[in-house]
Amino acid sequence: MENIKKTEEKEGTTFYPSHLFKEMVVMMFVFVLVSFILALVFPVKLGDPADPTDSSFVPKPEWYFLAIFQLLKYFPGVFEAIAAVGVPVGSIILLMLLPLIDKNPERRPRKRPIAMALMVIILAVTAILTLLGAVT
Amino acid sequence: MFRKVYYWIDERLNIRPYIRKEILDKPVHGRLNFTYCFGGMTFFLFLLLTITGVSMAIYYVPSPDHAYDTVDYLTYQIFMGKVIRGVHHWAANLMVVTVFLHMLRVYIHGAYKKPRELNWITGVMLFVLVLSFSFTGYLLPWDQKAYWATKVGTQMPGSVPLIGDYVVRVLRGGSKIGALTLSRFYVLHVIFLPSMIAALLIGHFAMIRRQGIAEPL
Amino acid sequence: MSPKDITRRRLMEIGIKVMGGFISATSAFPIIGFITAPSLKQEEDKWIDVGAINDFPPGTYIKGVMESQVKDGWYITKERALCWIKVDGDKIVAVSATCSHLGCNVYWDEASKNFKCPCHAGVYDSEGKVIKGPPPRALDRLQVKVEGERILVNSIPVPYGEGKNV
Ligand code: HEM
Ligand code: FES
Repeated sequence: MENIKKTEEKEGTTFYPSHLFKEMVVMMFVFVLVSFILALVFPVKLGDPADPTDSSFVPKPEWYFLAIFQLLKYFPGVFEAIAAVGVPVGSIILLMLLPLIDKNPERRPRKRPIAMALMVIILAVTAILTLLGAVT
Repeated sequence: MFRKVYYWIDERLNIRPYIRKEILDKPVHGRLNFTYCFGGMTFFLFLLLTITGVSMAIYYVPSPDHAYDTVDYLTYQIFMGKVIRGVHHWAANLMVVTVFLHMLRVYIHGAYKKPRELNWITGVMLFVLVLSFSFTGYLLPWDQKAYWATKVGTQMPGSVPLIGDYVVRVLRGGSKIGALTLSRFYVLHVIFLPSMIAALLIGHFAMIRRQGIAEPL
Repeated sequence: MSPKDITRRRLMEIGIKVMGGFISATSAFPIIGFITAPSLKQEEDKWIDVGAINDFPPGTYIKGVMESQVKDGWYITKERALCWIKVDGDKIVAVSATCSHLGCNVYWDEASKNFKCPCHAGVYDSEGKVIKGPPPRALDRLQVKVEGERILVNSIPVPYGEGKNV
């Protein structure tokens, strides 16, 4: 709790009104973006009604599931469980345990080369899988 | 007017000192840049989703016979329908972006380290909840995309030996995607997940209040 | 506190745990059972009419739509599913259209004489055996029988190589 005390002393402003004002500006931005730009310029569609006898519809998941969708193609047959369940469940568990694994108290990114390298690699792999999933 | 009501309540409950100390006058860093806003943005999007979602639930009927027609009706025949559903759709997509950026910021700043481990763990649960929201919401319009994406998605645990098949059946409420799947997903989407997320958010915010934001680097 | 008070306190503490545990445990069972019960129901098999023999020109796979009345939970409805039927003289083959990977419907590609899955590019040969892609096993077969001029298929698929075609 030591460093929290120190932090509080240094903190410059109060929540109301200065911090809330900043948050409000951001919310205003998000509100205008979502309601006046996205929702009006790119309206949502409703596709054809569900048809279990169709054999040509290619279900593509939402963009944020495309990486895992693409990964499924690389794990044929009995290895499927690795991509379908192993990778997502494993990454969530690792993410949860992250603060218990990484006990290095250093916070500055420059001083944490391994953590930063891991992040860049994971982001790059996910981005590539997402792109491949989107085009194929 | 507002002030009068506030004072009237305060006279009876004496909440003013508490609100001053714990909320209004809580010290905050003066030099937080815009990357600190992703958490707040996510929260705001959650509020937007709640309001638009509850409004749509007034018309929506979760049954294979009616789901598609009620979504069609509320989108195209009701005043502002397109906007309400559009906002829900885009806010949901944007929420995935902002929650991800928020997580990235926390990671880069090493803000998950002692003493904030618990808040990170709560955060990962929130992240899983956000993704579950979009997975369950996807089925509700009961169009082609909804049906096939859910069919493939719920089949995925089936690849695990022994328990896989059982998990798929529990997810679907049977072996096929049907009436029982739709009502399950509906309840998860509008009752179960929102209450879980609300509970975790209270914890998330309470911990931030208690510990303060990690000192900017 | 006297020793008597301490035992009294201990007793109450144990009581709280025991009663709390009893309430949680006894309510967990019916609730979990209630939520998952319909998932465990086994499907009953039935014979579904997919059309007259004449509807299926011999020698190639033709789409068969299996439409039947089912009880989906509380809901009585027409369930529709897809299969591929080939009439070859006396022999009639019905291949389930459900991809063995994640359950999309496969289609028959006349040009390459393969079954193809649109979802993750699985390819099967004309027997339904896997050639390429992620599917772990061959396409299921449906049992077939002929009544008069009508072709009936059984609603419960059997794995490739098991069961017999009538
Ligand atoms: C529904 C989703 C979420 C909401 C609404 C939310 C909201 C917030 C807010 C408003 C803050 C204050 C600082 C800021 O905005 O950056 C914060 C801080 C924090 N969040 Fe979240 N969050 C969510 C999900 C997550 C996730 C997915 C993680 C990580 C796995 C996470 C971990 C943290 C941590 C560790 C802090 C403290 C950061 C610091 O002290 O610098 N949160 N959250
Ligand atoms: S569902 Fe057919 S290849 Fe994946």
